Amino acid sequence: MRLLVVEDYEAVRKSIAKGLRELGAEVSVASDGQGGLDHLRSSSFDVVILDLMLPGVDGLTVLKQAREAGDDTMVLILTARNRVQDRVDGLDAGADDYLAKPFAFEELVARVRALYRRKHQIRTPVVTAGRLMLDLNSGTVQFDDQPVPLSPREYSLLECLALRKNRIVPREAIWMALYDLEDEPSSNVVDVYVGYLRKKLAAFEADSLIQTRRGQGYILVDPPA
Amino acid sequence: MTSIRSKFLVGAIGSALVVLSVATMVTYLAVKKSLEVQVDDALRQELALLTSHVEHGSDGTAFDNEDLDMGAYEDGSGFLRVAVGTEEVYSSPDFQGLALQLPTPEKEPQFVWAASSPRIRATAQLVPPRIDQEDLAEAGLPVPLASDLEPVSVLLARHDSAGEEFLRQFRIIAMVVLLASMVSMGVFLRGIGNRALRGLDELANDIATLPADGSSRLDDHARPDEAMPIVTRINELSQRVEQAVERERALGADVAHELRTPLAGLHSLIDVALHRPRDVAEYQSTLRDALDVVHQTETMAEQLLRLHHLEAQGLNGSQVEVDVGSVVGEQCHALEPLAAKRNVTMTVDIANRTRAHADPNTLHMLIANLLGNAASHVDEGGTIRVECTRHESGVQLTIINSGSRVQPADVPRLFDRFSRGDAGRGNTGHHSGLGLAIAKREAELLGATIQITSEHGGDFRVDLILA
Repeated sequence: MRLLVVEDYEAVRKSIAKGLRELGAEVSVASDGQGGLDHLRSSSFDVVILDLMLPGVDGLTVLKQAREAGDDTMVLILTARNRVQDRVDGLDAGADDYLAKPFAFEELVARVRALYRRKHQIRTPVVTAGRLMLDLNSGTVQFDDQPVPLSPREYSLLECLALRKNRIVPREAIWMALYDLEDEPSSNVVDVYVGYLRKKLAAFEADSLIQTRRGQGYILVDPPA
Repeated sequence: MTSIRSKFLVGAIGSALVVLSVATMVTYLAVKKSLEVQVDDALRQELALLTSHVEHGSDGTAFDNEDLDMGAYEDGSGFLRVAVGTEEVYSSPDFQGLALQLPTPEKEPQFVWAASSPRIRATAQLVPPRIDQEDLAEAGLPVPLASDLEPVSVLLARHDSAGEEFLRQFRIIAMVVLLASMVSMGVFLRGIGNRALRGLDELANDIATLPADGSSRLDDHARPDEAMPIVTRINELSQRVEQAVERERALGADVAHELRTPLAGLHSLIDVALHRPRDVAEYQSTLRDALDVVHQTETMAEQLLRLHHLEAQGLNGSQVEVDVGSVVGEQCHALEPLAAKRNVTMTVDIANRTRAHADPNTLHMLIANLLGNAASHVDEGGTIRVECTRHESGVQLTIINSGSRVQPADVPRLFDRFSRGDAGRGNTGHHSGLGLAIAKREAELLGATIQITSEHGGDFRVDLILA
């Protein structure tokens, strides 16, 4: 899950980025509105956590400009402005959810997950492919009720494929799901992690679920029941 | 008694009572006097008739009452006493009860009320007897001189029963009329009072229903002229209350908003820290971050208190002559370590004789505030220029820092509470957004003017002119 946190207050920005990263998300941060716009123009995210009162370009302007540019990233407004009119303005400007400060981190995470599911048109937090099951809430994987131990990056890779199961996912899209903007792209890093993941799944004889489409990318096959 | 209506009624009815009573009394006395005059005229005529019946003839001086109806003096309705010299020649049977003395040459009672009976009118006359010359001539007696004869004293008194009855009825009627007048006047005055005070009643009701937050005004339509100063004053007060309430609401909302942010910081720091087990170093790092948030919140609280104190403070601080240049020099010197730390170049230019009248404490705090603001917002490696010069109306202090992130359009809002210039005078938490609001109030208290100009990416300039 790729997230962007646009928040000028360092304590909030640092802590939620840290907490979300610990949950396996790839988190980029911006401390002002212009930085947020720059991130949105140069990369794609599953969910943006956006403060409204930002130095420079304010949060509502960031949101409006992003929508005008055709960006349909899920946006959760996180702000100290808690009046009804503020919430209406934020949602009308194109936000998908609104959370007032102070907030419980668990609620923030739950709302981000809900937006993530909405983006991928999943109604339940569980995705299955054959006997393989991913729990998006807990970030865990099971095969026939047996836990499959995965590293955070391996899980992110499997989640990226599972959310697009039976569809070819290009290497670039997988790389985007795994790394921050700051990371330098590497030509074979995706292949390396696919190899790691296949090895873990081979222990359950499920490595065939991930298939290579030469020159196109990878696909997670959900065999018919 | 605090009711205007009651006071008005009692006052008006009391005044009317006095006026009507006096008028009634005067009328009564006039009527009584008129009656007395009538009675006295009758008495005088009757007395003249009676005295004409005291004759001096051949038999001496006698009261000849043969032609008179003496019954009128013996049935208790009239009293008569006739004396020749000191010798009484006639007296009504009940005359003694009147306690009237016969007139003497020294004292002639004229039309007095008999002491023993309030409604008996008496008069008396001391006259010489009529001389019956024919009788004397027939008797061959000489006609004496009137002055040689014993004077005849005639005292006549009469019950004025008709007048008494008239006056009694007059008193009853007067009392009834007076009473009726008072009652009708009371009703009438009450009506007038109600009508006159209706405007006041309506005004009182309208004032009583005004909302406590000053959000409504009194309508000045159809108000009595006398009430207009009250309406005007109440509306002025309502406006001031509304503004004060609005300020309080805005402040409350601002404070609530500004407190939510550090609270959110603390909340998320702690939430995330507790989300999973961590080593000591990580917990310590979180606690340091939390402590920073607490320090920022403390600073904001202190500045809020300072602003509150300044807003409550009057303009009558102790104004003395202060060397502004000297204060600026001290504050700039104190700022040098911070400037050096951020690689900022400071230039300070202080003219001679830069003295102004000001409260030294407030002036120190204002200059420290403005210089601290510049040091806080100057760009890394930028410049701060401080000039203290003589101005036509006092002393001018100019502080210019490079690297302004304030758009010219945002300048008017910089003096508002919690304004951070929005375009990056500082990020949330690092600056409370109260510094320039405090500076403005401090300048007001010093009677100084403060002005800001800003060019985004260029200079941020503050001009302070002290009288």
